[in-house]
Amino acid sequence: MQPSQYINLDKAKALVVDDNPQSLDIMVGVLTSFGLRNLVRKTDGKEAQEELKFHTFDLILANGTLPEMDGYDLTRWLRREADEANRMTPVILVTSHTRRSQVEKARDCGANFIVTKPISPAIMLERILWVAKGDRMFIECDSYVGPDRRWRNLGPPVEFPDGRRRDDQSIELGEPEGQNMTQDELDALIKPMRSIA
Amino acid sequence: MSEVKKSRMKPRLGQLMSQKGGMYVAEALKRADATLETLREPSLTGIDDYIAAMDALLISGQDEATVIERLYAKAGDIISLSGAERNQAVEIAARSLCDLLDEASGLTPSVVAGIKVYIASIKLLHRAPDNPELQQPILQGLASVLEKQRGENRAAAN
Repeated sequence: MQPSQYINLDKAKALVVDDNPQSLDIMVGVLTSFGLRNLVRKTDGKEAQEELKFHTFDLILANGTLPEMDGYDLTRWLRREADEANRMTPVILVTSHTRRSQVEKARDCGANFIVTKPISPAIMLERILWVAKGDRMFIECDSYVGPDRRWRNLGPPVEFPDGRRRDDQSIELGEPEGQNMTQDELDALIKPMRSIA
Repeated sequence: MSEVKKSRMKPRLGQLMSQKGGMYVAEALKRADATLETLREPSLTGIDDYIAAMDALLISGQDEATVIERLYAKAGDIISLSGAERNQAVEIAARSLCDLLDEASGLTPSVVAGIKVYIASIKLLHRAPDNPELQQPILQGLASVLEKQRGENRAAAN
């Protein structure tokens, strides 16, 4: 995310769900600051579900813990049973704390991202930019429906713990051939030069 | 094995965001920080209320499961608003309290004592300036309380 990057959320429509009114104000305040004007606020999962049955959204922000229907179940319903118009809508879940018993549920619900509270504007905007880019595949199978969970480069595969593959070049640099360049010679290499043309 | 269907996600959000108009990322973040500043005092007052509610819950006489559940919710609410604090210690303490309550099987005397230490610590850290020298011993103490409780849980499970 570059400070000079341009964003336009004027025409986007978002659904924001949180049962804590102050936390809802914070989320709505941050999104409004990003230029998002078309916002629908809901305080429980069932209300949000009803809203999603009749209206299309470009972004959903929901708290993980909600009365009636939590954010994880709401996302799972959205991915599996909602109308085609909303089924692939980006979902960012926010959570204060994930219970041990809910870690798997959170992982498998189909959300694009899970962000921990307190809300940080920089992290929220970065996640919005990531979901807008749409560079993840949408996966549908019996056990999971949602964005591909293996989209990020997680570093070297576990079978190569040192981060090197068998056919990688040696990292040994060896002894230098010839003398080091002087500082004057290095300066001359990077000195700006007028084009011949 | 079930069939796996893959399709390309093309969110409308991406198309809308790339349209003309809007603002720079730097401007958006500046505006968001200004908005959060206006919400700072109400958030701190909210934390005051949640701390008072936790004190009240401990002496409410409600059944153990309800007390644990409600204390957990209040600790989560404190985390939600803790961005308003000038230090991260309140967030860390409240998150640790959530761990303790999530793993507690009941309100045993040692769990209640632990919760009281947490509430007292959050009171000390709340609205305090960012001073790691003062915060670190408190947070280390809370980590010890959680570790002790986990040890007791393991012993009870065996």
